[in-house]
Amino acid sequence: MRPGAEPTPPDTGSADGSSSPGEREPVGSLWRGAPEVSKRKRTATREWTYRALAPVISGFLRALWGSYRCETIGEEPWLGPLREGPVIPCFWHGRTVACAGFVRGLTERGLEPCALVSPSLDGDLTSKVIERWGFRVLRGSATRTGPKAIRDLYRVIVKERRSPIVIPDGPQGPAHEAKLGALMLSQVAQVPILPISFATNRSFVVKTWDRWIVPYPFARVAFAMGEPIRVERDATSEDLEQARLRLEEALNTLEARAAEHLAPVRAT
Amino acid sequence: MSKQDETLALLAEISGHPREEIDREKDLVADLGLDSPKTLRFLVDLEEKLDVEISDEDAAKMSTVGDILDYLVATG
Repeated sequence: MRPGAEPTPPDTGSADGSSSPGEREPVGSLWRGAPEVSKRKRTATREWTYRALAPVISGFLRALWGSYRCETIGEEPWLGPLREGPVIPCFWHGRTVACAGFVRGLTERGLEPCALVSPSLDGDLTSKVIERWGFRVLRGSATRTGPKAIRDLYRVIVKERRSPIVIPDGPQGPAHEAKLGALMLSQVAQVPILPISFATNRSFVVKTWDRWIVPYPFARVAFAMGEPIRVERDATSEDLEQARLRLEEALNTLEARAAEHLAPVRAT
Repeated sequence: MSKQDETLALLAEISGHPREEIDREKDLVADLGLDSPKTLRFLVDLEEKLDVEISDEDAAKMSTVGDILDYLVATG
């Protein structure tokens, strides 16, 4: 990937540079991601601009989230894991705007979120915005730092007891196709994946690869929360693949469930 | 159990190869079939069992069982 080619919108967590099951890589290849050097320069002007923009964007998103009329579906399965400690919230890249706000709301229940942000120059702005929400930010990405990023997230779970958001189809898709990163992280850290999606009655869709959905202000937003997905420590490659398919199915089913929940409103 | 024994036992468990087949010359990928998930699990488990921290730079230099054992000896 070219430096700076990743999307600027909340490009949170994409620890999915994993190989497919059975693919062989030397140990060293896991850490192939050298620190990214952007073709653009980190100038003082750019730094100042980002510092000025971050509170504006952060504030705008907070106001947007605050305007939503939120409803939750299927909250029960999440209560236990949220009490017990770190979890791995997962949602599709195209659902980032509302879902990131939802996860931020979970801080009131003790969740301490963490997000993986691209090491590119564009990621600098995203990073500054997310930090203002109280998220711990790690710099890394699927295409550049691969499973190294997963090990970094593992350390954050174990040492800081934080919950990393993982976007399983990020950062470049294909849309709604999960990669193995979240499952690998769940396996080594032994914490559950909590899938979530949403539907809304009023939104606009950005014409990007992920069809980024942004609910309009004051929209009704239904969040559907799925059953936790756990991966055993001794899971085989086949087990990981099965879990990956379960995650995909869960995220797609949840979106449909949330849409059904809103359907009566749409009909009126 | 020595660090070397623990390392070999862990490699056997994760790779699924019999312990007695694993020697210094074995390539982690070509011979033991460590893919990304297995390698990640190996490194995380090794760090926990031996109470060591293997940096990314050091991990990037390891390609055989001998590389790992030498690293553990060198770092005490």
